[in-house]
Amino acid sequence: MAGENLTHAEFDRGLAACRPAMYRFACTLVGLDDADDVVQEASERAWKKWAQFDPGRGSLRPWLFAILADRVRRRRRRRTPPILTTLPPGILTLPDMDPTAIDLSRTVEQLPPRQRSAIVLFYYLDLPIAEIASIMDCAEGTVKSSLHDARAALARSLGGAYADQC
Amino acid sequence: MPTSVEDLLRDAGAQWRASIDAMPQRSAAAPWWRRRWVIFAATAACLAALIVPIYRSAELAPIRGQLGSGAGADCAAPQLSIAGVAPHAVPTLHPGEEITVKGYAYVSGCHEYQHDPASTPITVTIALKGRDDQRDLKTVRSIGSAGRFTTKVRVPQDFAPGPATLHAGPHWPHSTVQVTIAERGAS
Repeated sequence: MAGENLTHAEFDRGLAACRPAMYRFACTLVGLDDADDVVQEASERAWKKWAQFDPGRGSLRPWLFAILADRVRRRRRRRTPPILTTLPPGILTLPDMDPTAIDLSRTVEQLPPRQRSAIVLFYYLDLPIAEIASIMDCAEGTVKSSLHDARAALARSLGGAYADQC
Repeated sequence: MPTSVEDLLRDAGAQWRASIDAMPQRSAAAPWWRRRWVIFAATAACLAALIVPIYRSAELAPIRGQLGSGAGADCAAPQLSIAGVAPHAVPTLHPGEEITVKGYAYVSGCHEYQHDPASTPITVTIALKGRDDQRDLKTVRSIGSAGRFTTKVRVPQDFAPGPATLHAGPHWPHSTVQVTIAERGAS
């Protein structure tokens, strides 16, 4: 049985530890208003499917993210485009951030979907390359090249000293 | 001051995470009364509390009283269709359900003088007839020329689904049987 490697208590702790990351991920998918509900639904779903989690096939966080993304798709009645191709308006430009960060976030929002997804997952959600590759369903090298291209595009958009880094 | 796009992104990402994490979030689990399964379970319990007593009173309460009788015809055992007599009073029979049938059988008319109970006692067969299935459930003997009987029959588990009626047929041609379902319910 796949779930035998993880006890009930361990799964509970793992889920609790991943909740902040799940909330951030949910924010980038559905916005601030619905993130709480989506995380709650995904957590309940995760508890029901707990026995299906196999630690040998990867860590808990990507598994939870996949469930969360699935709940988002179900909420939108399966009419949603692939993950992170659209961002909730203004989700990267929160009022508490300083003007420079807000300007940069607005520029990030203008990037092509693949580059934007890589940037959001790597810099904003602080996920490792391997998990990003899993979420974007591509090779790690593709994620790295997307990040490289995105940084170059951002440098060109920012201009000045940053443009020299291209 | 960040000096590269890489630094700018890391700084913006860190600020974004700090802003998100500072937002008031619901506790790890929703209040119990907001959980969907609680609402669903409460609704189901309320519906069950309303429906089950009505269902039980309609389906499992004993059917008492005379439901009908059949009279024998020449060389043909009559068959009493309880549902045919009082269709509105006979609910659906369930597989596995045990039914207590009480009845009274007697030889009718002038034939009673010809009837020799020692050689040809009345026997009554309780049968279940459905649209696609028919089973003899039990044959009651030792009634003599006239007598009351009480017997229990069980609806077969593999009886074809669909409407079915309970029949009581005396084997002696010129006899009459009256039956009553005294008690029913899954046992």
